Amino acid sequence: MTQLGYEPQAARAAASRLTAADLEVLLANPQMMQAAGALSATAQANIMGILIVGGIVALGIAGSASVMIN
Amino acid sequence: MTLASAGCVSPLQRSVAEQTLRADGGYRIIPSLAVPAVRGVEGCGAQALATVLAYGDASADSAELADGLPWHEVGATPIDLLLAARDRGREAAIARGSWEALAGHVARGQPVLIMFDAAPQVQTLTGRIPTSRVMHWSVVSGVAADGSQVLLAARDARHHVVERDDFLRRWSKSANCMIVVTRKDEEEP
Repeated sequence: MTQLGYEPQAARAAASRLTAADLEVLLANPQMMQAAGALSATAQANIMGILIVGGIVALGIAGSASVMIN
Repeated sequence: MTLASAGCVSPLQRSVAEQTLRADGGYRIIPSLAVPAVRGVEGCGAQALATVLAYGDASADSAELADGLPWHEVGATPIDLLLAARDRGREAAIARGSWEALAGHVARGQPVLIMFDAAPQVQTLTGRIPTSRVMHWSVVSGVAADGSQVLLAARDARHHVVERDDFLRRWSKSANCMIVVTRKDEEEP
């Protein structure tokens, strides 16, 4: 839980309030142990990066093709 | 050429009015979910939990509930949502969900909190370009009667419509994390 950003004391307090059923599900499915938020700036930047690189490649391909046609 | 036809699509980019879906007749819909606006860049946990807490409670205001929840600038974990729901006098149960379980809750009129990967999908003619995972809390608000699509609650009486296969792929990134919140006088989740 501290890896998820909980302070040690808060992690202990939260863990003490979970039921046995909660713990069974969470321990069996570690992928659930993550924080979720809306689209983060980092993720959007990564996607924009992919699109920009893709656009440059597409322009390069289009440019080469027009030279060959001419 | 491939990239010229590339698209960057998130399942949350477009939504359809509930009225339109009802007129279509092909959906089972949990009606009148009040999805509030939220402040901050990571408010989806507060938004989704407030939506579920306000559902079926005529005296509750989902915007006020969301405002009183702490996650607006930081993401919310399943533990956060479980404990916050219980702090507000509700029963809350976490489970590894399935399509059948979601459809069952919709049939009983119980909106379900889910965590899934909402990252825009960069699709080209040759396939999908992997992008960073963007985990997101949302509320399942319906399913297509033929099982081909799921509805996720959106603001202003609208729903995001997501194809079943795409949804299941995205949901699997959280091990199909689902949280069912019920009132204590309601059927157990």
